[in-house]
Amino acid sequence: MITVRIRTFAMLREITGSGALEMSLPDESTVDALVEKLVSAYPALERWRAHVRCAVNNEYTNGSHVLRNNDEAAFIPPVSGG
Amino acid sequence: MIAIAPHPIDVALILDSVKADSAGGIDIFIGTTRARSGNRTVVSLEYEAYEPMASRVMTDISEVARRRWDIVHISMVHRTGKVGIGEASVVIAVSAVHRKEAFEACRFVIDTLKKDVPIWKKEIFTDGQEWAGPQANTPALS
Repeated sequence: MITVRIRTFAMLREITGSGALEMSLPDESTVDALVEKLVSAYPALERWRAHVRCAVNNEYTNGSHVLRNNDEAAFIPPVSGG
Repeated sequence: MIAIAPHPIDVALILDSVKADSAGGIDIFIGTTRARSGNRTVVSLEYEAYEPMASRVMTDISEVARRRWDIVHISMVHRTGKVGIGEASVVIAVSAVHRKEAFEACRFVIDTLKKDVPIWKKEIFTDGQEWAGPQANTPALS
């Protein structure tokens, strides 16, 4: 098993309650698998699922990215800086 | 200078940071907080940034701009926390050999920042609050 650190922001953080979580997953799990687990734990995230980008260790990536132990996976809802 | 700042942005300091004898012009963009959003009255904005990724993406944007235009210096500073009406939430300054490059690069930098940098704003209205930007009916970006 691996443990990944999860970061959520803005409306996603308000759904997960905390902006910093941890989840354990089987070895070789992908970002998509993490998303499944996160949405199962917080069903209200489903609404945002199609609109969220993921970054692993501070770089944008995609759902097929394979996670490693202690990675930081961030879920980035539509940004609104400026 | 690339920074995420929890305190008011010092525009003069940013201007100084891009001055250079080799530059023929400086273009500066200051994003400020509007008092109206749609039909609602805004009291303030609250910005949240994902650090260090926000600074990292801002650095990437400045490097892309440097490759594309003949730039001398670029500075980008974005606020976090509560920003009152009329205050600067973001300042971009670009010095270049010629004004055309300064204008084009500055526009590219602010446009790309708004699209890619992980920063969010919550609009605080007189009658409620909500996260700004695309709502759940907008297509995914990737």
